[in-house]
Amino acid sequence: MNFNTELKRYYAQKRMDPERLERLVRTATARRTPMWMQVSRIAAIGLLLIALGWVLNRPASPTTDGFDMTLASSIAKHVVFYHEEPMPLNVKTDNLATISMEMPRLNFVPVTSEQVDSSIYHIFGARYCHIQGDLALHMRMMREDGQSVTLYQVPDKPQYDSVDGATIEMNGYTVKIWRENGVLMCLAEKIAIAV
Amino acid sequence: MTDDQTMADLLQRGFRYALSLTHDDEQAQDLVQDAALSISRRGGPWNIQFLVTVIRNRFIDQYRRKKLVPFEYLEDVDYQTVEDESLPAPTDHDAMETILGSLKPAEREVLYLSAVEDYTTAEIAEMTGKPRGTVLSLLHRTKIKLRQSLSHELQYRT
Repeated sequence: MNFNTELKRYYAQKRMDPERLERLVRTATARRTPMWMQVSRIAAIGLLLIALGWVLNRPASPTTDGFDMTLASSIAKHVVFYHEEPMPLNVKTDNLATISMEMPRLNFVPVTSEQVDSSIYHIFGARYCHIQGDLALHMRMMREDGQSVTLYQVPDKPQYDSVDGATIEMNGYTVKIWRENGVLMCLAEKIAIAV
Repeated sequence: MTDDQTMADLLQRGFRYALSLTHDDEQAQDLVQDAALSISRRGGPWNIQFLVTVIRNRFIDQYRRKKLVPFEYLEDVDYQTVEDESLPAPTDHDAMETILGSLKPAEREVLYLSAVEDYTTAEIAEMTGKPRGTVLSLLHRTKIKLRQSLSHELQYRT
């Protein structure tokens, strides 16, 4: 047997984690867009632009005023997606210093946030992830009431000036985005339902 | 074949390619996931060439941030024809793992695309954005490196 045959066999044995693959297939096929839908999408964008013209003539909404909502929504969508995906953690700990030590691929130092009260939000682990193509820290936390919460941290960039302080509601989650201590933070938690 | 099965096969191929870059299962799965979500967001296209391009770009981005240079361009001046003589197989799976681990990502990448996916050097050049001579040169050097590793491995075993 020669090397190439053995190499083919080696790679043929390598397979993605079946559960993770299944989830990814589901997501990808659900979002596959046929041509007619792409045409409809262009038409919808046209209508949206007309609607936008109308909206711009009205006083701006306080929640969107001054924010780059395209960027903010893109970040929020990513954060919510990975919050909902049960991805394996790279480190299981309640300690930020341990996260910092055990995750050497991070090119920034994770920081505590004054906006995330440690007596209410308890870290239980973290994993590597990305925000806008940059390696990010995805911390999983548990709120006092038992709700699972996600906090992302990624090195700050000038472009994030346009999303600093934005709050997005998406798929039943509130995602708050802000800059703090040289880091962009994104906190995703379930929207509280009044009873 | 169902749509889901076709998509699963495509993602598995993407995963194996990502593995040729990272030589790390977890990192390869992250790359494929990021790439697939990115393609999803833009509505396709779903084919192996595009998936490979997205995975590759993401991998290079990660390396750039770490200030490493994995895809250094080799000079074309020492271009030599790749020998046709086939390499011997390593003794077992672990040996293959070790030998592949000793290669640089760019070396594993061309080896994978050439030996496993059976792409021609012209196709690999197009996919990786490298001149054809550079791909040939890289393949040649990779084979020399493999030959050395395989002979060490054989000596160690006997």
